[in-house]
Amino acid sequence: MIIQTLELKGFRNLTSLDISLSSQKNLIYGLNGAGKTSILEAIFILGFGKSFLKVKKSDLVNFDMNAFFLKMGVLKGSIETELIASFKKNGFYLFLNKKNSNVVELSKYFYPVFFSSSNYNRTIDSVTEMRKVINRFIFGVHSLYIHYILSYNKLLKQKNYLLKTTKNVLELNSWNHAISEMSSKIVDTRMQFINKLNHEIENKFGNHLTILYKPSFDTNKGISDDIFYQQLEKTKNLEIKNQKSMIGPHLDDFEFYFKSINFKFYSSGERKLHLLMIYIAFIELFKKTKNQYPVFLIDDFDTTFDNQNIDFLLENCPDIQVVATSVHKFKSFDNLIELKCGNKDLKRVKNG
Amino acid sequence: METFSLTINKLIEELKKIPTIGRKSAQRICFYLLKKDPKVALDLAAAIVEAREKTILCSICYNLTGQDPCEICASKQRDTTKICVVEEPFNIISIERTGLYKGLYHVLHGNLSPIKGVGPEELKISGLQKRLGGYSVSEIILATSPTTEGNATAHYLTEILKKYKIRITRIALGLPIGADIDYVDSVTIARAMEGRTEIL
Ligand SMILES: Nc1ncnc2c1ncn2[C@@H]1O[C@H](COP(=O)(O)OP(=O)(O)OP(=O)(O)O)[C@@H](O)[C@H]1O
Ligand SMILES: [Mg+2]
Ligand SMILES: [Zn+2]
Repeated sequence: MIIQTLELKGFRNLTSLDISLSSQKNLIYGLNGAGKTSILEAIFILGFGKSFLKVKKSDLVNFDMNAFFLKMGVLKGSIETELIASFKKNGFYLFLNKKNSNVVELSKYFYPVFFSSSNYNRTIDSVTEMRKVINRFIFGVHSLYIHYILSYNKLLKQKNYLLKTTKNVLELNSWNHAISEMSSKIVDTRMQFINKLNHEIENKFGNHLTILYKPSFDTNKGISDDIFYQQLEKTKNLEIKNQKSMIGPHLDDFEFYFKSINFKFYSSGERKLHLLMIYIAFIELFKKTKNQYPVFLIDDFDTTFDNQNIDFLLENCPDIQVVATSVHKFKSFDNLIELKCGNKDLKRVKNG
Repeated sequence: METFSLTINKLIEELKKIPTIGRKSAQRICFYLLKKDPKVALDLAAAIVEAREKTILCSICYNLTGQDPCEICASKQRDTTKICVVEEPFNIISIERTGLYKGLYHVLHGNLSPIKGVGPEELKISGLQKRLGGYSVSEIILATSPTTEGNATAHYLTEILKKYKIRITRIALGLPIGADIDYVDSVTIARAMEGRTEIL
């Protein structure tokens, strides 16, 4: 899939922007604060319905305006589609070819992989962030996964509420039953996904790099509704005492290892390279599952990367559309877009 | 909104309280009623009042009815060994449309939801337990929707009905994730009825 055109109105500092992208390697460059990250954020919102940053939608609206509007022309195979996200006072809406739509529907036509070169440390250091990254990956290749996660989150909210308000054990049991059913689906999906991804990583980069999936439930005796229910049963008294849920997929952990040593112990540049390799392996896995490439978004492309690594990246993504940002321009990209502050004078420079 | 008179606004506000009716629909209905022949509006108002006054809950199954017990509970034609448990009265209509089910019903009037303050006491569960004492019931079919709350409610019923040593089956499992039983067509419900799975 390829982004062909992008039109933004009232989004962050980008009051009005209209660009077309090449099907290959695009680099948006410009000074700090020009709005580069905001462009990727807009694209991301068209893929996932929300930002990669923890922000309210209303904060994304330009200070001097009262609504934002994002429109993207996407090519998948030979089919052109138009994706729209709009936020006004009355809410946030997604449209596919002018018809009301939702994230699950849009993901059939467009799926971005986002890598932030400046925030990757947060991803590696925070369990929550890592879980989000993995969830997004699985969402791209498994059509029911998002329903599992949404259902699970609803169940968990109800259960936590119940733990704070009553001590009806029979009622708690019934929520635990429902939770264990959804948990076994999630854990099973995650397990299979991580196996596949590890396999892909090994294919591409050898066996030094691995992801270790550590489910919160003990899976030594297998993954099933009953096995998980028994564990919830054992934790029940503790949960009642603490008035909150203490075990389940919302607490699952993913650890990254290179040569059997946790990523945490590597230098910034090394961490980033290893994490990027995992993203590239995922992109290959996506290609195998979906028969096409996603769009690869890379923010702050140049930070902590030496030239050798820049070439490594581009060599490893031969046929995929890349939309990267950086302060400086790089000749290895085939479409260079200079973003001037306030984006009023947009200049396009063809490379070569 | 100051554009309309107080009485018109009042009607719009009342219409908006009806499920699935938003402001726009409420306005359209309102002006439809006010512009047409007055008889249209008066007939509707009378029908609402009459239905409201004459409708009660069946004392056995808690279905909405004009007589007590309701037609289904009073019928000699129904299979009294089966009770199908549903969330709302309108779910009965969907299942009856399939023409496949000949047993009795029990309406819970909702699902468990701690967040909304709905616990077992708020649902018509004790009424169901009472029915199991006297009757020759041999199967309970749990037809709550396959939503998070619907599933939890089905699990709750399974737990408390254990002691009656009767067959407990669930029909929601064949329905797609996220689908409410009322939005699913007759064919799907029929297939689900046939393929209902044993819980106990
Ligand atoms: N709601 C908003 N309305 C107007 N401007 C905003 C809004 N939110 C953020 N900004 C501003 O938009 C500008 C663009 O931010 P952005 O992060 O996209 O820049 P960038 O080009 O990625 O910069 P850097 O090179 O530092 O990463 C910033 O100056 C920011 O303060
Ligand atoms: Mg930036
Ligand atoms: Zn009745």
